[in-house]
Amino acid sequence: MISGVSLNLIELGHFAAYLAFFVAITQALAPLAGRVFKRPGLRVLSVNAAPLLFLLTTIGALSIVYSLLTNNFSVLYVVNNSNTHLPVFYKIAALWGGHRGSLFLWVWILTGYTAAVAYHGRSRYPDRLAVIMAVQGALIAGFYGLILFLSDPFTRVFPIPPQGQNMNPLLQDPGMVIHPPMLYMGYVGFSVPFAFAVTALLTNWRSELWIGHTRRWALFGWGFLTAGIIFGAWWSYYVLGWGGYWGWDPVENASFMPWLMGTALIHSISVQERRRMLHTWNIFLIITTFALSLLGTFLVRSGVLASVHTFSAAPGQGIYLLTFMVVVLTLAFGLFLIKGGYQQAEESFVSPLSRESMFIWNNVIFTIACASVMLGTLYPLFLQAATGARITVGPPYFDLVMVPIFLVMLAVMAIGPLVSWRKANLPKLRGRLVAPAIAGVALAAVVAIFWAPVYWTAPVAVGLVAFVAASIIGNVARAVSQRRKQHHEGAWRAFTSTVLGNRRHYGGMIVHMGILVITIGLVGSGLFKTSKLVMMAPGDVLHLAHERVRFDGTRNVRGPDYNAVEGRLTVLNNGAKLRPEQRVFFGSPMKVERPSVNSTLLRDVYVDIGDHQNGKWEIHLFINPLVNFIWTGGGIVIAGLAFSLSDYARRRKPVLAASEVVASQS
Amino acid sequence: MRRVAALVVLWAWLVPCFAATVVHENGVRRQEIAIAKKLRCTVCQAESLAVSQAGIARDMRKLIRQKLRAGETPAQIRAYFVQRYGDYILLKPPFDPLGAILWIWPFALAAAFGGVAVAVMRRRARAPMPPSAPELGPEDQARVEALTRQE
Repeated sequence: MISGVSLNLIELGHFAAYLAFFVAITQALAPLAGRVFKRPGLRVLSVNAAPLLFLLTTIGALSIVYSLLTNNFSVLYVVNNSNTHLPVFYKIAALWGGHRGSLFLWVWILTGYTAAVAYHGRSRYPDRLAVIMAVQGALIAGFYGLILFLSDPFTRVFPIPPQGQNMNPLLQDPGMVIHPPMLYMGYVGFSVPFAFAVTALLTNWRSELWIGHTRRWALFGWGFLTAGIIFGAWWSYYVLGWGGYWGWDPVENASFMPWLMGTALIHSISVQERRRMLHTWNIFLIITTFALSLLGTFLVRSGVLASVHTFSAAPGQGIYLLTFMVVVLTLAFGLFLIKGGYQQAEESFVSPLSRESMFIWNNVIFTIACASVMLGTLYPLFLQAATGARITVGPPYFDLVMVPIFLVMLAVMAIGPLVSWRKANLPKLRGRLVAPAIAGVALAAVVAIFWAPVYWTAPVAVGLVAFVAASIIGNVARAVSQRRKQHHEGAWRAFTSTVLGNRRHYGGMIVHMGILVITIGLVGSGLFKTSKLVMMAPGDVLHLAHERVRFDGTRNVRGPDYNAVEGRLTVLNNGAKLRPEQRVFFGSPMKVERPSVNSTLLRDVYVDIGDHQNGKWEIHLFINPLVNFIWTGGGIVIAGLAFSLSDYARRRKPVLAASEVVASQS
Repeated sequence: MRRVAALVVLWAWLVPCFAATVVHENGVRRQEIAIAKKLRCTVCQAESLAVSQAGIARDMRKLIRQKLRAGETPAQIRAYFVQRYGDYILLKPPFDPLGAILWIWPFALAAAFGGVAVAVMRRRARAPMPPSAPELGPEDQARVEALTRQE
């Protein structure tokens, strides 16, 4: 299998990676050199380096993929993460199935973003583009340093082993193939606003000229981060077999923290665009969001936390990443402290009850949420490092702390969009809130009476969801009826022209609706799930929450790189067949339980099969209500985001024709 | 007839006993899960005893069950595990000198951030800022105006 061609290709990739390292250093230093040597022409180097870097890194990545596909076991990374039995699909995904490759994916995406910014900025913000590129170049060089000197995926091994080890069995799933690239697209996406903010601080770049661009890049990254988190939850649910999708695992928290701050950011930027205030706060948020992305990468990649995500990593890498993070953040926050106030707010608050103040409450709540998650995640690590005492901060803590914060957030979400900018008209606001409030209370009462007298959170959350939904619907209905009066249009036409005319706002409302749908899913599956762990003989029927499940026996099956015992069960209510497996992968002592799920709109029947004893099998059955709402809601969020961003594509052409430089659009 | 009546009486007398044991056993299971949810599996990462499939978690659940059958209260059982494994076993950190900061933190933050937000908004609202002179260069100004006209 090992051909001369593939041997050469991996070295070509290695060479490209080294070249890229030096190109990145050049990119980072060129504007500075141009300044020092009074040769402004050197700045061009930075901009032109971007596509070259992307090209070189792509060559590196493709050479790894090619080595994986051709089973080139002279490459250590291939030996450790792939073997000849692995399906082609997973061989490609093995690029991010191990520690070294996933770092390479990180930097690959970073160079991709950098090239995209270079392309996007060549006509829109050409005067600052070189500095933006230099900031990105510094980040790329930092990561390349880690890759090439401490975690080199191109390392060769001799003698060449005949067969590789298997990829981590838990990672062999389509969900895992999608989840890491999505998450990284999100993490790394926040590097673009970061580069803009640092550039603005360095060069006194007026906010109006860049914040609009930053918003779109931030939204883009936020969308991928959201999708990545949801795919992660999906993977956890369908693969890990513990019947849940979110366990407040430190690694999950590592992706949730930048999400929380990113959410605060994309709201806060709107205030600056509309009301020309919060300049300094926005820069702080941008830096913090990226800081949390770096922290997330550090937590996951350094081996500080042990979990399914943490591939065994050498200690030197953790120290490198930590040093890198500290240097980047010290420089960024130091710059912020020195020059953060370079541009003062140009307008003031007119009233403490206004749209802008609601946005500020949004920011306050998201910041508290993020800081709480952060303390819960890091405190055990600090405590153990400082005193040696070991404590656990687990789901009960996070549920207790985060649920109230989340409920307050929902309330703000309902009221916020109804409050007008500058100063709220109180009687009008009160009038707009009456109907949604009644809807909320009514639904809360229904839930409290019929379903859950036990959990106070269920009626409150459902009531708030109804409150928010009614307020959004009311908002749209008012806008539509106003338009009908003004333009004498039919209902449907008025609706489409209203919504299509302000995609940014209504895209945001669609995202809010998606969040509501997710909330219903979280309430249903979080509070009303039931499970049973029993030993069953073939023919036994298990009753749980109105579902009857019959165990029909087992069968041995063979996959491409594993042997498995397949349980055969039937859901008697609808005749659905369930086929949970217990897999033993070649070259791995680990038994992996792969659950089987029968999913309908209202409930999932979720089953695992475990070991057997005296002709009986251990069956773990879960009835999880409303889980599909979470995935559906995630889809709605992404759709709403895409709708909101389509506004930009629509407006781009005339603006481009008008001028070379684009100021922020609102 | 008498025999039937006797049987009925016997049945009526015995059924609650069986029912009681059944109910009791269900109660034990429920309590077992409730307790297991709050304890961590010692060999897993961030998993509770209730969901973990590790062998030791299974044994620990069994131990909880036995102790419940022996009449121990959930509090006693939790205390037993804390005594054996330390606070580490508790998924919800206790409110003691080491854990207190975790519980105070969110409230302290809420108070601090909320206070700062209110203070800033009030201060800004009270003292409206003077309109700042346009700092854009004439060139930029022209571009911005061109754009504004476009829209």
